[in-house]
Amino acid sequence: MNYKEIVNIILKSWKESLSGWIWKWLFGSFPALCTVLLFAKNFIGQTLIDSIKWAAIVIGLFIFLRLAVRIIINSLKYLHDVYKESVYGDAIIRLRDSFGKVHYYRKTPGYQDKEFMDSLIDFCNGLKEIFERITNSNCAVSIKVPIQSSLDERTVLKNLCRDSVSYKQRNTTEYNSAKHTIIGNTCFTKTLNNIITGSDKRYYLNNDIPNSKEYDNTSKGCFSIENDLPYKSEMVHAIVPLFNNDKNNIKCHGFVCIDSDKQNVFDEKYSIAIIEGVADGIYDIISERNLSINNNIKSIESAKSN
Amino acid sequence: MPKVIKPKNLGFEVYESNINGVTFKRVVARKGRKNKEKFKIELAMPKVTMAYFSDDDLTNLREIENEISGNINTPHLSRLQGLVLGIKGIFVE
Repeated sequence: MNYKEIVNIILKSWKESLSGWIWKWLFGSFPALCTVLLFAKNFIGQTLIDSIKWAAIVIGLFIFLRLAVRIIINSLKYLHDVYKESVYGDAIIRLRDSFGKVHYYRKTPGYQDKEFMDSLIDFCNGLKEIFERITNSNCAVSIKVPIQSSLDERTVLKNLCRDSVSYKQRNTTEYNSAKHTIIGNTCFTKTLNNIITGSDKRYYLNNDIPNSKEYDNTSKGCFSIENDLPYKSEMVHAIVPLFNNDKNNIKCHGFVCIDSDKQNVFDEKYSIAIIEGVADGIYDIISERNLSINNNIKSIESAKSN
Repeated sequence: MPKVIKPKNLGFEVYESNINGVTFKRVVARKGRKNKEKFKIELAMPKVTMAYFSDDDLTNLREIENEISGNINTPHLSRLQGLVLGIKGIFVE
């Protein structure tokens, strides 16, 4: 038992139960005090002493009731804070595991595509677990990357991976056959716009998708819900480095997308900070992997030419 | 009929593209500027380069994803667990 916290809550509640406008209203002036003390005498016909006794009992009960309510409220606040602290604490531990896994793979010779995908899926699963606890809703996470398609703003993005739960639910034939262009999705165009304008906000956050008029999404109708989406809030962050020397040409490997089936669940402070850190980590893994692929291709080509 | 989005309303456009990737640059309002001057201003602003994944590469990676995620069995919450979580939500949230 945390007796110190219990004593703190009781003391705080006691102070709160004795403060407030009601006491000023009842005892703020001599006539008001007389009215309270003589209430039973004037209206119920009690003697002066009994009337004072009745007033003391009623005021005592009133203080007790206020104290009980304040204790309940402060206890719930305390429990809520402890719960929230544990949620973010667990998020740190979960992300530590994911980053640890990635660093282990990177330090191990012969880093292959299987390890690369394993670490990315672990990031997706970790983010899903974290945000489901933070938002108390069902979340889905995916990493989308550009593929060779039309050479204009209609660049198509495809899923590199999803979290293991939505992998089974969201990979419908309709979704996989649809062309998910940058231009056709508000989340991608807004995110790119933010980067290009030099903003620090390299993300798109929409906590009320059903009521967003200017919201385009190429996934509408791709799932079992007719012409609708299985989520109501969405957070998309570009896969870019957190800090970059060359601010004039920013490299972007795609987008990390997190969605939730509830409205108003993502906050701009902590949720974004979490996804920012992960996007930075994913940027490094993809960069390293693409670099090694390019080096392999070059070495094969030079071997052929020799 | 699907809504048509005009590229000029995006705020950015393709600066250069090849088989390896695409670079986007910002589009600024003309405001009486000549084309050359406008282009110079746009070039001085941040650009974003997106490197492509090739189709073959992505197909290969998606197969690996299938091997990993396809074999994971996701546990479903029992009714009791759901009830406990619900009660916890009411009192703690």
